[in-house]
Amino acid sequence: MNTWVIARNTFGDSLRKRVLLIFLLLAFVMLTLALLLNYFTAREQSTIFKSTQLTIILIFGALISITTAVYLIPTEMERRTIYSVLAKPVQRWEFFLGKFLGGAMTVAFMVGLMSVALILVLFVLAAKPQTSAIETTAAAFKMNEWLARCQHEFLLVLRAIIVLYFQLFIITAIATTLSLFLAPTVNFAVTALIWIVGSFQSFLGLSEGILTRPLYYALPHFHDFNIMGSIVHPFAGFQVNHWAYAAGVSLYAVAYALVIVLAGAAVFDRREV
Amino acid sequence: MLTNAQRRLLFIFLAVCFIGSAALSEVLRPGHQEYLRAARPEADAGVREKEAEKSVLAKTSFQALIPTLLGVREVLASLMWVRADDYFHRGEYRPILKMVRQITAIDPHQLDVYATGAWHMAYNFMDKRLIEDGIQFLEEGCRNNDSVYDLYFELGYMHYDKTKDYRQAVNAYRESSTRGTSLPGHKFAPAYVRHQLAHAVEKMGDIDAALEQWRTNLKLAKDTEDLGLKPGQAAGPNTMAARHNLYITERRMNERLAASAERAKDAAEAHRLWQKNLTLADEWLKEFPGHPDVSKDRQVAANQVSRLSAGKLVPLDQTDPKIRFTITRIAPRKLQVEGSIDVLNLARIWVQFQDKDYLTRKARGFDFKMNECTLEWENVQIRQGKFKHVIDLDRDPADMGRQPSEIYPLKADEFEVVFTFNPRLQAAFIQDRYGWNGEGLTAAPELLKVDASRGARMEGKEYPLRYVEKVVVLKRDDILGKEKKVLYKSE
Repeated sequence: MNTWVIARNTFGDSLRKRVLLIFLLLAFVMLTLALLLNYFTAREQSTIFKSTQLTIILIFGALISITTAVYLIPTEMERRTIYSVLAKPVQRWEFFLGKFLGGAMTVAFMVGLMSVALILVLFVLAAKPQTSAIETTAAAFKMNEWLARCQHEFLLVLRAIIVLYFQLFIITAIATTLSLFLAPTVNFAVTALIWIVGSFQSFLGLSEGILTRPLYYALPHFHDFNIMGSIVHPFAGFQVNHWAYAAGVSLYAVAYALVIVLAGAAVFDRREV
Repeated sequence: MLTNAQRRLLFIFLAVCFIGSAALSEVLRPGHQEYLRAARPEADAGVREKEAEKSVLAKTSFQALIPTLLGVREVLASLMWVRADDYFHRGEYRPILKMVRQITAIDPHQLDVYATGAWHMAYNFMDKRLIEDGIQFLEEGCRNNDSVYDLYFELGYMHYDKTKDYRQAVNAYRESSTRGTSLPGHKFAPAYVRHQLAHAVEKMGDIDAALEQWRTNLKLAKDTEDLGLKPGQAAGPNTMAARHNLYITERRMNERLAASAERAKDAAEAHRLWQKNLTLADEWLKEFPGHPDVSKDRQVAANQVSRLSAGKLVPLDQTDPKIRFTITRIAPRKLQVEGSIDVLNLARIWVQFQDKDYLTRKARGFDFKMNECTLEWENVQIRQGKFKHVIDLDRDPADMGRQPSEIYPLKADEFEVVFTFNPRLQAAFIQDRYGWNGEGLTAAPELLKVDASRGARMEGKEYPLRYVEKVVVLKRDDILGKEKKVLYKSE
């Protein structure tokens, strides 16, 4: 219960931060810029739009999650508000977990807003006949076809956003835990570095060597979250059960984030504040 | 603070979560590998081995590596495509050739990049040597996107329209017609793919197969109409087009076979074939009473049946087109070809200029081809039995600011000018006169080519392709000389 109250307050505090709103505004501007690509065919426009917008959401989502998380604990300490909270019957782990969940809720809210904008624009684009030049001349707007396309796009984007969000969930967990040890600016850089190395993993061959294998499991597998190809080119013959994979990768994110957050809670529990 | 027992529990839970996450990552590994595999261009997998493409891709390794590592290959490819499109709208075509190869190396599922890139190569550069590169680019796109019809259709059209290799066009259209689409809810290739297939089979000369394809198209069209889809759309059932084309193809086959039968003075066979056309028209008119064109066809068929029933044979001789021409150098790098040919008005003669051993030379690689080989052609129209064309090798055909020597290096010692009258490359009404396979053509033995490998079928009978061709060999100095000079004149 305490955790939930702290999470809710953290969420409210985070939404009042101007820097997050600026990121959100920038993301919206970039989302709407895609409408300027109207001179492409519907398929090209959809490919370009989805790939750029999902990347924008990922990058701005990562910026928002790191910027939110690196200040969660340090700000409380700096303002000394942590003492008044911990003076109440609140366990330290509850406080830490509440802070993390508040950060994760903030990221979810921001990503949710950007996703709504993305989906709305995709619905507009779906009204354009999704046909080749030969067919376009004969094709007229049909409500049932438009609804079918909207549903198709919605499910694609929903899957992408779920996977994308859980990637940010891990980033939030890492930044929150590292904030116990590092100054916000250093934490920002280190978390970003972990994100990049985690995305590189399968190409660095970390899973191959005996020495690098522990590192492979210790580092988050951000590369597993890269499903962009299946969202942008759903026809491309991926032999994967997409929803099962999305569920699996989300479960992995929860498990990995729990490891990080529980380790952080254990440290915070014994730490002098 | 947590008690020691709580801390122990916490660490046990933490360890369980860690082991769980490691196990999950192993479970996810095959799925992740599949996402990687599907996103990997086949070119990377070693299929594309030609020197030409290696040299182009070697310059793109960095661009290909970065997006692979960061997992944003699709977005980088998309942004590069926006840039390439910008080049196109500014009329700067040259960077596009390299960019489209880079984009598809990064993201091999960009269907429009393959289609548009190949179109640039085969059409917009107006460099005939690049047509085969456009074809190869599309073939690569087909391999990388084998589950959808789109690029097979583009490949079929490029063979149909540009290389006039109808056998290859048929192969590509056939593949296309069996594939699904990239659109949600569209499991089958649109009807126009199967219609193009039938047209290509007809152009190839295999009329039996063309008729079979039109029958299949008509049946599919009726079946989809029964599902409640609106007829008369290029992508939809398009029942009328299928029915019309089936009728026309069958009618024309009977007419052509009847003409052959009359040439062979086989009145009974000619009668049988015209009677078939009469029956065909009657069947059509039963369904569409009073149809004006079919009524006319019926009248023609009825007249022919009456004539043949009365024993009046009018056998038409095979036609010798009697090609005569002169090749004149009118300026350095400019050859005027002018001549006469006894064929129907608006027929076309194919005039091709190339290195004498072009096929051998261009096989030495892309760079060699672009630096050393020359290829140009034109399908020249014949008006009132005459044709005239200037092979201008002293210009950039696309006005892109290139030096003429970039497009036409003229570095071989000898060149060929090839004149071909091929019935397969003619409009339908011209083909009606000389046959799909040139059955109605004849010429001097050194000019008449009979090619069984490109033969075709009508009513189960094999027909070799007959066409007329004359080759003239010129020296490099003949082309580069300054003053006006007649280089060749038919005897």
